[in-house]
Amino acid sequence: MDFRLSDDQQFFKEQVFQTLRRLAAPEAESIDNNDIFRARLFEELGHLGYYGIRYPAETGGKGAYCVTFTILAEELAKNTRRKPERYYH
Amino acid sequence: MDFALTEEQEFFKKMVTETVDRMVVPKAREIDEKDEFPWELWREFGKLGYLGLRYPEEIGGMNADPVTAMIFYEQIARGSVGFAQSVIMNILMGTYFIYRFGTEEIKKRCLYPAMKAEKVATMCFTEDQSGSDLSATKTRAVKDGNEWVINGTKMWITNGHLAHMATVLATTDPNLGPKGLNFFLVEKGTPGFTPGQILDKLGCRGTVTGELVLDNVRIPEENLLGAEINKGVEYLGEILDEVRVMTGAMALGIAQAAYDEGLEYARKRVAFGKPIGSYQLIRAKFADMATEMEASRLMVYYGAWRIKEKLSSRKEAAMAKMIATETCVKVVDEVTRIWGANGFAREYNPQRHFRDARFLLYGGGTQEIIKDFLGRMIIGKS
Repeated sequence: MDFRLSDDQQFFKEQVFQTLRRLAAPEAESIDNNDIFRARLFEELGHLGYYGIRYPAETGGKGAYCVTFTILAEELAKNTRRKPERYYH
Repeated sequence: MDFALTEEQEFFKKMVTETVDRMVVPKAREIDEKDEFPWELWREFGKLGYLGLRYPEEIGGMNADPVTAMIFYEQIARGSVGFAQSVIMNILMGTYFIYRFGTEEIKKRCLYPAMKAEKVATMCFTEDQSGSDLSATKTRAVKDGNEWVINGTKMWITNGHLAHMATVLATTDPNLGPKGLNFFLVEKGTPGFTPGQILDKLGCRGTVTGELVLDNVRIPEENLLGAEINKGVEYLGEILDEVRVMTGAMALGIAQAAYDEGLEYARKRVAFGKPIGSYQLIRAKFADMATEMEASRLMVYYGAWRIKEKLSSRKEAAMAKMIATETCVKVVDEVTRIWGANGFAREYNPQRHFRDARFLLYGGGTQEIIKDFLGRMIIGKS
């Protein structure tokens, strides 16, 4: 039994948090107000390799299934809100 | 991240589950109805070594880590929570301070026999006007030469009238509040140490719970269980989280016992030509119960794992106790509804689980105190 994130997972979590805070959070309010799909933001996340995260490295993905994928899902939902904040613990 | 039990823990779980199914489950109803301490079962658990669960192998214990200990607490409570309370008192609260601070002589006289079920142990915290609020403890210890003289009355003492040894919480000075608290070892037969009223309880029957009176009880200096005086609260902190997570584990055990009864009934009982489990309202109950029990189980074992890894666990232990207990109270309620009027009949088990679950709302600190404590930890003191 080990509830800890691995070093890689921890690093990834921090990286996603920083990235989204920089790229997505400033646009969050305008996305909500204007209800517009931000193609550039979508592409930028693609460049970071987030869309291939669940697929094997041989196919250009990260082979990160399924805890790492869950980290991405949580961070995406959290940090594309109006105000990015760390969870309290 | 790895949620799996180790091979050793899996093996232990299988062994304990079988032991509880074979030895405790068939006796649970009788223990509850007669409200008598099951001495025979007690001795058998002693022979199997379970009463030394947490202590090192060198002194005859099982050396179980906190996660393994939770497996035991959960399973034994699934069998009979009355019996579980008595056993866990010997394993954890009733012996910890003796193990930690007792002289070798004291350990020989008290700890080692308690680990073999030859002696019964208890811890005396609660009084008629204080329980979760320990700083209101009135029982007083005064030094007289090389002896301590203790006066006070303890209430709600698990194993109280049967106990050969009691770890008694007393203050050296009521004005010091929590900073005046200490633990003292008082043994059965010490002049002035007498049993009072036995409580007639709604649930957790079979464990004797009652009052213990200390009237000018004189004990030797070495019976102060602590390296330093007035550090009782600090020492209590060493097992507080474990006690809270353990209460959560007991809640899981009761919830599981009730849930299993509910599941069997929902599949068998027919209404309007179909098993009641085929109706959406009953299915929804199982979806909720199973989910909440799984969430509680994760938090209980997460708390235990943090204690094992020596990570901070105060918040997680309180959360585990809170969610598991509330889930338990909800599950036992739902199961009596699933059983319909039969859930109200003394003839069947659901009513026993319904009664037993209530105690966990108060044991190990009331839910209200735990919630207030958690809220303060999260928001900060004002």
